Amino acid sequence: MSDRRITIEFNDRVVRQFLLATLIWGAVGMLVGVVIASQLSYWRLNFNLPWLTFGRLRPLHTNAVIFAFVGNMMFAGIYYSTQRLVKARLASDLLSQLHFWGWQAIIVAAAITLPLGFSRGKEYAELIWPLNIAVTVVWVIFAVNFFWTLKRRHEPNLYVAIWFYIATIVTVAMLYIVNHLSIPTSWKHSYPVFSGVQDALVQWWYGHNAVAFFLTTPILGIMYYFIPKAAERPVYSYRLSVIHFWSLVFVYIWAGPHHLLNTALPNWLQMLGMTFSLMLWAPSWGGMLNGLLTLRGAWDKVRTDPVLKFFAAAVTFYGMATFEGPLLSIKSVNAIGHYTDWIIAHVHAGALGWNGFMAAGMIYWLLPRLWNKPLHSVPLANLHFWLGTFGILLYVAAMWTSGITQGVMLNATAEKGTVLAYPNFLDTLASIRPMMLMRVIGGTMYLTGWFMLAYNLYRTVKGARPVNGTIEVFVEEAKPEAKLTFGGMIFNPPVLFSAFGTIFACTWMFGTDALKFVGLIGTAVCVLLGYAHYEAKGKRWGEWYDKLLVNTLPFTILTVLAVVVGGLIQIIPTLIMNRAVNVEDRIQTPYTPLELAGRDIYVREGCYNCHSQMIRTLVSDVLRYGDYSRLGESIYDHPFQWGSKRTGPDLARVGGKYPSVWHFRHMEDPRSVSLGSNMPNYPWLYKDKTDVGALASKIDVLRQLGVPYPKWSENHILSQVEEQEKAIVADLRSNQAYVAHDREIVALIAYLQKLGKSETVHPRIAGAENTLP
Amino acid sequence: MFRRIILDHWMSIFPLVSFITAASVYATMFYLTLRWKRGQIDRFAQLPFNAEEQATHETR
Repeated sequence: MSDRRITIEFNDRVVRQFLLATLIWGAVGMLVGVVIASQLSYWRLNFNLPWLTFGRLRPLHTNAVIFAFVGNMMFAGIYYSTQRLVKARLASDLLSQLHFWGWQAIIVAAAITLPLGFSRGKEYAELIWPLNIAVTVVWVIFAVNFFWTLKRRHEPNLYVAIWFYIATIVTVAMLYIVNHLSIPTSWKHSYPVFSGVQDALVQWWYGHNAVAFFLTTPILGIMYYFIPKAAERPVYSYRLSVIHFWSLVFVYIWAGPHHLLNTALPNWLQMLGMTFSLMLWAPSWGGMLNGLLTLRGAWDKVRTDPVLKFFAAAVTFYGMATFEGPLLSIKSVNAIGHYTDWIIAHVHAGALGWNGFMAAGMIYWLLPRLWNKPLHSVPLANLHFWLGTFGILLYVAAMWTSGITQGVMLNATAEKGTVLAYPNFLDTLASIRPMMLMRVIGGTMYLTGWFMLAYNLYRTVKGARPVNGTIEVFVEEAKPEAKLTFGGMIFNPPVLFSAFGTIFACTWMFGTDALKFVGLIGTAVCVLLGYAHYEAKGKRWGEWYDKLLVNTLPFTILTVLAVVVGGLIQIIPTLIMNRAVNVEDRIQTPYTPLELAGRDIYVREGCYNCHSQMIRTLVSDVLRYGDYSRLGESIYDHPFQWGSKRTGPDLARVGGKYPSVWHFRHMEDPRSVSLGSNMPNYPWLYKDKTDVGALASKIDVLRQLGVPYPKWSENHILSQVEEQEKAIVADLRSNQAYVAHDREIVALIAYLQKLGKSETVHPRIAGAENTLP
Repeated sequence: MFRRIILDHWMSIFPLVSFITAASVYATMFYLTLRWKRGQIDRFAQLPFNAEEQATHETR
């Protein structure tokens, strides 16, 4: 070891910036949450204003909480802990500032564009394409800054928290890019390249793993750093943390299809998603116990220290949420819970309990250290904890009750399963109204606690001067024998046995009779040979793993491989499946230009936030909404609109169910035709003109994406639009409803009346090209 | 209206393979970490405490 000693001053300025942004955007995201929860109880709170309606504000709430609140908290925690764990200042002050200000600019842009209705129509992926590019650029800046810092580190070993950060950075990049692949039709609009079932699978591969790799893995890294620091004792079991990391990273990525159980998604994917979700119980609970047991011998401090209180409760909520997730992935449980408030309870136990309390604990721990001043009020922090805890419990209990009540009522049948016990959807809504109100109260309590944190922070920081941490390090020369080359990373027993094992397992799963047998034998041979080789040459395995722990690039590449495998095995078969085979016995007919314009209005207003378009293969769904949905019926839907919540009924077969005048009255004032509805009014649809000028470009893009539109001239498109508009308006007029033909409501009615109408295809000849349009 | 759908028995293989795959990963990692030396484990677990940190007002 060299005796050269240097002093390093950490870049804690950017940590403080992200910390303050966490506080502000947390308040904004939660406030919007309370507003939209109130709107569900009191529809008048939509104020008949387009930019204040539930459908536009709900994406703002989810994006603000995930990307603005947890995102900023994650960056603060990662930058603070990484510098200390690797004993190096962040590589570039410029990149750190670009990262911070770039991320805030994106959040502001999102807060403006989402209420204006600029949306891609996919949950948690609503931001328009220029913002998608901006997110990607800022994420790359973050990644460069992070890995460059690792490159300059003075601590050769990588602590487990750094592993979780690496997994977060590479996996989020992969998920975000794939799910946001789109072709623009204008600067504010694009169509996703995937459609129907493909889009559904990619979306929930992304959606589920956004939870896994944006809301979970970075926070677990933060947990593994901050809980030991706050408890002043090392993590309970470092061994368990290593098992936790690899198990979670490998298994989480496979579980996305549990969001699509009992739908038209191929059943093999549903089975795969369900089983891997169940297997997630083990690593999740291993991690939770590791976090809680780190407090061993420090439980007396939990009584008085608000930081440990928040951390202990956060880890407990992590355990609750990760118990409930696999439970909800069981197909029969999912049949009750899916599309109901049970899912809302589940995600809020995670978001408020796990993410929110980890953020609060981290902020209370960091405040005195970043401003070198004791926390203004510990009793206020304790009050924040209790108010927040009761708020969560009230919220979650209300949503559990609401979800299970509505799920059971919607699924209940009578007369030996031939009729619905509660045929009117609004009866089920009326029964959960008290729980909706309780949610507002619980959410308001939690938000009040957050404002207490803001006040405590303000009083602590006021008059204090910010400080940066410094440490002295010995500069050590890198040991040449510890280097791991690219060849050494791939061509070694652990990687080769894993690779061949995976290939044979895939052959076993997807192969035909003979191949299936080869796959089974190959898998077994790989496992046995791997075990035998390990027993004989265990030292080589150990040396390789030791090298991996101090070599960032090979470690990152292998982490990428671990997460990519799960995604590819699920997505590739769905992408390459012949579209004609996908259709089962029905195929969608492309939308007319007016229907397409109406569909874009449906997406803009965020109707998918409350209405599904997917009739599941369940008796109650079929009795209530009609024949179950086929893959082919949404095959040209860019984006798919299967939805994930039924605050209102499913719309997959609403076309032709009611006359056009019913929709006209319903959109104007839902309560005039559906007594007790909590849907907003949409008066602007009767004033604003349909954007027909954009149709030529939109149809052109859809044609590029494979929708079988002929080459229409712009004039031909406009004449088709006018013809269909006039037919609808004449029908409305005959029922004493009057509106100009070029208004948005006409286009929306055209779209709604199209839903569920498809062409029948004989299943046996579905693969023949000449049977398809 | 009700038609029995998706009754392919070959699909039962997916839960089995999924279970074996995930269980293999868990078992392998469990076994590997068990073989780690106590000193090595302790060194890693102590990493958050290795830096003796001082606070200083911002200089850059």
